[in-house]
Amino acid sequence: MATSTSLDQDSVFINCSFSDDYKKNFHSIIFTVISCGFRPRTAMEAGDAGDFRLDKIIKLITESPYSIHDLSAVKLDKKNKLPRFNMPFELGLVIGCKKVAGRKFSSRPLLVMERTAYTTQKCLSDIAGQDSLAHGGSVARIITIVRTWLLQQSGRLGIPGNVSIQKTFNSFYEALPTLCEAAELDGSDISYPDFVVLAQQWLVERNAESAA
Amino acid sequence: MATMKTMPNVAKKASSALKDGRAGASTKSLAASALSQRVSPKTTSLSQVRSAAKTLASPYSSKTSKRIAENVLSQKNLPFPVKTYKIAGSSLTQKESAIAVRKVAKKMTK
Repeated sequence: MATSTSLDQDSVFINCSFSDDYKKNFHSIIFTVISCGFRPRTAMEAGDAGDFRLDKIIKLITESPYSIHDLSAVKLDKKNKLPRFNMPFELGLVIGCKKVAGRKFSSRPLLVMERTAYTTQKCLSDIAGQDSLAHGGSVARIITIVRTWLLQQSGRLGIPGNVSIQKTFNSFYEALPTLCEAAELDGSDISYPDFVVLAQQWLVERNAESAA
Repeated sequence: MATMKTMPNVAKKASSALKDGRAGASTKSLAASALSQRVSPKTTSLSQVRSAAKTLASPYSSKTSKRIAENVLSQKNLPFPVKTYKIAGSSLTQKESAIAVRKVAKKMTK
């Protein structure tokens, strides 16, 4: 089990697919979380190489007051024809904490997203009654859902509009290959920590430009 | 504070909410706020933002009022409240990433 953990008010645990065909959706969630003033936390964060993956995930869940679960990529694997259970499993961990780990966890909000409405309930009927929002695979819809949910749940007033986040994400994503080139990184396979650092800096620069 | 005008699709929704006899007072007030920005590019006031955020957070708000509130809020053009922090495993320092971003931003504005 993870040892020292403390709650970070800005942390948002993100549980979604890290596969290549889902990369843009994953990046849009990360970018929206950073744009809204929060800190994305995923299992892709570099940690102690000796950590078990499950311990790392439990540490992230414990430290994050918010969690976002995108189950839209739960489908049969092309190679072995088996579904990936990681995402429903991590959602189960968070719901388990909410239900049995006491007051510290019970009030923590969670957002469940899926591709098409009600598909999750068909394969995961135990969570029937849990609201989930369908994004249809659209990046614009993902940004709107994540940003509105963070605004509602945090009650923070300084969160920018979804149109503004969408435009900034589009310009950032368009510039990403050139950015990687300028930073001497491989644009086709940018690591999660490098993506976060570049996204943060892009937004800082955007603020400076608007203020000028 | 926003400086954007209300989008035509927001204006359409807002005007139908104003005509809707079943819409509540807060829905109508939000709809009026959204429409008032169409006539002149007025900014969204802090009280409008607060009222919209309240409407969104309330479990008693109808779907229509939530949609209008979301639209009113989506027109905000606030600076991004981005926080920078060190992230383990990044091959870039904040300084290096700032240099790369500025270089590319300069190219894009040319």
